[in-house]
Amino acid sequence: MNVVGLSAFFHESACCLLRDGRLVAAAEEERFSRVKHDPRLPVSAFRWCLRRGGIGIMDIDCVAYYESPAKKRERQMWAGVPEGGPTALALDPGGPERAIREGLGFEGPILFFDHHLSHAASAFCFSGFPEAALLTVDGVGEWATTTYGRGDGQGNGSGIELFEEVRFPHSLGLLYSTLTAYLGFEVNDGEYKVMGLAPYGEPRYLDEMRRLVSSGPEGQYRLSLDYFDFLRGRRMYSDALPQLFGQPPRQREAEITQFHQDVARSLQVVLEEILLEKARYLHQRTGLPDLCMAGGVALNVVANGRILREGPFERLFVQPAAGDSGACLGAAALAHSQLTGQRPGGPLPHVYLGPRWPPDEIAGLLAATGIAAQDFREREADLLEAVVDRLAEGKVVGWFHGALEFGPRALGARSLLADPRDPGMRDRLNRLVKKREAFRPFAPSVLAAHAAEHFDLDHPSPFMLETCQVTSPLDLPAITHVDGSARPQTVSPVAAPRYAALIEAFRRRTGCPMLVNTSFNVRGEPIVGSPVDALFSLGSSGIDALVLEDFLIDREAVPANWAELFPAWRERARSGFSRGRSAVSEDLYTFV
Amino acid sequence: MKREPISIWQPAEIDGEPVFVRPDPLPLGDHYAAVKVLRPKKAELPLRVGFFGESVAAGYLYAPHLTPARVLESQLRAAGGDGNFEVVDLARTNETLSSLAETVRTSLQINPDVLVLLIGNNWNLLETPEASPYAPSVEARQRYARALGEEGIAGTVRLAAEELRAKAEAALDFIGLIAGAVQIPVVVVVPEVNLADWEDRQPPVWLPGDGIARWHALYAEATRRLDRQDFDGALVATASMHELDGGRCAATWRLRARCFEGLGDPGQAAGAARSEVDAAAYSTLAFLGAPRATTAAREILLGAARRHGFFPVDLREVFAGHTGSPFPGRRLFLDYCHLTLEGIQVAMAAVAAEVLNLSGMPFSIPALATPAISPEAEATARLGAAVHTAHRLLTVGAKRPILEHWCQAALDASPGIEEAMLDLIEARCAPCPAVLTAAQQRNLASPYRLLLQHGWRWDHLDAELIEALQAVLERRGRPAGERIARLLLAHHAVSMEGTDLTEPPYLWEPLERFYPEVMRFADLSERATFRSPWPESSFCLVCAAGRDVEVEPTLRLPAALPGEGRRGRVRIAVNGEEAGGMDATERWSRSSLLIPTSSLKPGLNRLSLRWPAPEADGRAALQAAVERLELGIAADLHPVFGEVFSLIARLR
Repeated sequence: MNVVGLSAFFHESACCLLRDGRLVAAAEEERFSRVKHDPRLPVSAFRWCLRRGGIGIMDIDCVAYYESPAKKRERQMWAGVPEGGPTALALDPGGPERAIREGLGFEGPILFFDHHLSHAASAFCFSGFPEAALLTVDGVGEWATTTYGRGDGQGNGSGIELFEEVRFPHSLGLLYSTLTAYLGFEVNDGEYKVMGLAPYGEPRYLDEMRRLVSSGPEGQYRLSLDYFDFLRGRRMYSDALPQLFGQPPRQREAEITQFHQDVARSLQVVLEEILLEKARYLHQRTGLPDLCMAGGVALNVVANGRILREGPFERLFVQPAAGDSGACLGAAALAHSQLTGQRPGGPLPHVYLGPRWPPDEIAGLLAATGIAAQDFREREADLLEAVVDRLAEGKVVGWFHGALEFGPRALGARSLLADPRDPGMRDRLNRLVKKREAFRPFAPSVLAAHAAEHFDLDHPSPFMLETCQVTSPLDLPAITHVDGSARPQTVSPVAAPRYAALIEAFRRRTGCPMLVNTSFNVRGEPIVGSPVDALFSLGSSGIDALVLEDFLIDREAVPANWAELFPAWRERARSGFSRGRSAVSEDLYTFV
Repeated sequence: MKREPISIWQPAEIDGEPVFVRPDPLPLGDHYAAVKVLRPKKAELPLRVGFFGESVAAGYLYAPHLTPARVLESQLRAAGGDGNFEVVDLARTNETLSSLAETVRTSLQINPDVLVLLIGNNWNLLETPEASPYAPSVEARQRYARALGEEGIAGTVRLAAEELRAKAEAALDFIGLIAGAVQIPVVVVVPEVNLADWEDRQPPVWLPGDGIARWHALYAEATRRLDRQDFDGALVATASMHELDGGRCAATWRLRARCFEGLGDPGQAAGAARSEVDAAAYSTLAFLGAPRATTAAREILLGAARRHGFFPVDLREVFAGHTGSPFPGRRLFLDYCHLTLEGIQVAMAAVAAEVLNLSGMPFSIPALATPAISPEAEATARLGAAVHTAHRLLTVGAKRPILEHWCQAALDASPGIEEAMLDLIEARCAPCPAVLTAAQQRNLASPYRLLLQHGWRWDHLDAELIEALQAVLERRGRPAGERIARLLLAHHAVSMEGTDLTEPPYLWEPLERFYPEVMRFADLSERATFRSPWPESSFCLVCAAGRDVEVEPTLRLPAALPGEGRRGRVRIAVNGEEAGGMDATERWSRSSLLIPTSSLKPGLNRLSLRWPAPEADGRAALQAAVERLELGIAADLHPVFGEVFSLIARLR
């Protein structure tokens, strides 16, 4: 039984393949197209998933889509056609099916599942919990913005029941996005920047925040809609919101002041309060010890940490691709259940579900580039020591190994690594490599066996989805946030053998069982997918060395003119002709 | 008065003097003249000519080594005195009407005395992107549906023509107004295009009844007769094709042009080729053509000249006078519209004569001197012509001769370009973008530096070009075949695991697809499948000697209308020889075919799928397209012969 799950047409489209209920492959389209948050039909991810599964289009039993276009259309029509947005005809509920039939060429059955049901299934079916309370929170799906439910894995089917929902336009996700926009960051991209900014501020605007959102009975809450404008689609907030805070909206790239930090902090505090309160309600309603979460708001790792520490649940599973991309997992799981009566999934040991490149292919690529790379094939220990040499010297290493991660976090397959003890590393990474805002913290990858020695963490956190306090005897300035917290990934040799071996080698050399791990990308770009992407990143950033599977490339080996050549090459690729199956060179197709 | 940027030249000061400065050119070239600083005019002389236009005006493939503006300046100085003329080059590749008008307006800050406009080749989808069944907006699709439903294809042609005329006339009226206000004369150069050596093999839209099957049968007959040099017989076949396609299919016109050429009638050949250019306009067809000025563009330019008193220089007449033929080709054109050195020289001489007349100064026309250009730059431009031709030209007959012509011409200009040719092949064969390759690094350090305009960037294997380069190199005694085979096999040889030949590198003619599948439209998703609008689709199969190859296609024959069936046999050919086939329907089917090593060449092979013609009633198919467009859904107006999900080739 081959079921393909799809998320598409809002942001972060993705595809996965479930074979006989087991997750075989999953990938976001942006990793192929190189268009960040690419919302289009995930054509490349789809083809790759089939290739990974060794099947063709005739072997797919069902395609499962992550939301109900007809219900979504109802909500869109209720809200009215946004000013300057698509006309009513463009909000075509037949669009997704047509895209699947015509764009992917699929002839078989297509099943559609509600957006939040897909989120819930994506968490519960891959949690490994026999039963659990379910909480999904995001901007909006069809009508629901938050759902409460329970999952029971004992019976037939998915065993998921969603018993309550908060409906649009009342939405914690949209609240967070609105403040993200007010603080001068991009909606659907900058929310985690706001979360990172919050610890620098004081909660001076709690009263104002509580005027924006108020908790209601049971699972309900309400937004004061006077402050929001997203219904009309022009912008997220109305004029009343800047008046409430007494400050104009921050312009993109403008200076971040104490005011902005305080607003971010106040927002984070109120979000955590509401989520904690609703988690308690959910626990009271279900009486279950375990909680599964998904939806974009479940990527708020600070709130997740508080729910686990201060909330009533014993265990928390947040689906690692908790945003819309990961909802394709849930849709596929629901389809499998519907077709077979069986609960699919099982615990998710890792998210290395994307493409990988064999070392011999990389050798061919490097030969074509003429780069003098060091070849460590069949010499893994030597490779790791060479990498540790560089990390210990304070260098930033691009680490490309194994299958690409699914979800927004780099977890040791496409990561930038550095020494967390280096006091200058955070600034260096932000300035030269990531080219991003200086305030944003970096996360550590720590050996699971040593995690408790350095963090207030008593359970594995393999997906970097919660924060905790740093308790380490070591000084770890590169990964410790201003409030003393960190967002660790615990690394086990079972899930990530070579990555764990690298950190172990670093521990042996330095006594420090962790590394800075930040996603392997530069500002504005998706995480690298292929070795070619990694070489482009190497050439256009300040990365000191790059590991491509068994090969090590030092910056000195890279042609000096790459930094000069790449921008023109890549900018032109983006100007309407980004990579993909339809790729044709814009430079040739100057319309001259 | 606040100074404004002129195109990409920003207001600045140098030593207290207000000037305009452009950013440094990008390392692989950009779309603008390489002149760093523009200065306001300080004295009456030299007279300043502001030179505007599209890539032809920018000297595409020759720039920055040589540009028409510089040639014009040297001609003006030779005829009218060294210190009396200067030309300011504000031409821009990819120029559009709105930015042209803005550049002309802002250029008044540097006080030109004469304006020269060389425009009209770009007046295609750059100007009328909404006149298309793939238009990005719902409203545009509905407008297109109305035109198609009420008047058929003629309606869509009218729609696009009206939109273009309105836009172009508005821009030219604006230029006329501002030039008139400051009493600057305007010279309008009406472009000529390559008629003899550029072709647009595009299929017809759905035709009533079984018109599609009949048209393609006639096409096959016409090409057979042309191959046998039976020009009269071919002409008869094309007349029947015309009856079916109503004179709106570019390929039919091209066949007729070839017939007339073969019959020794260049006048009729030119007429047919001009009709081909008009028929290939983007707005009516769904394929990426080449930018060339149409009859409508010519009429708009001449009309503006009459209205505003512009001074026209008609390159059609100039070139015909120069060559004695109304059917210009490779002597004057590097590709579809870009000029050779001779073409630039002749065109600019005509412009110079007009400017000299306008200047009121005494002058004497000297014999035309060949513009100075290094052999390396000339060779590089010609190699660029070969690359453009390889990528963009779809011929009704063999393509190799014109490719080999340009490759050979490059070698003739400068034999040292051999290494650049081999570097280009190496970059094409590499499993990464050319910019990452060692070949690129060598080329950058060579005197034959290929810029982006020379087609350096390309994501496909470039099979035809590789074969042409190999042929000319070997004719020169350079045994390139072994090296090329080694490169191909290193990165592209089919393996036991299998290679999907529908992946982009392996498309033999990447442009032999529908426009939105070649170049992304704003709101159209890509397709996961390969769709063929032509009866034959070809793919590159690379293999070593001595092994059989198994080919496993997953394909279908799309029906024109929902719920309709379709059935037929797809034949498979290797290097032109049939090797087998499979039965197919409107639903996916998978089959497998063994190709013995005896049918394969070591290295590059051409694997072709030959599709049965669609048999649906074209009228109903077009009506279905109208209904989709009315709903705001993009629609194909052309039949799809076949669709491939995957074409796996693996060693046996």
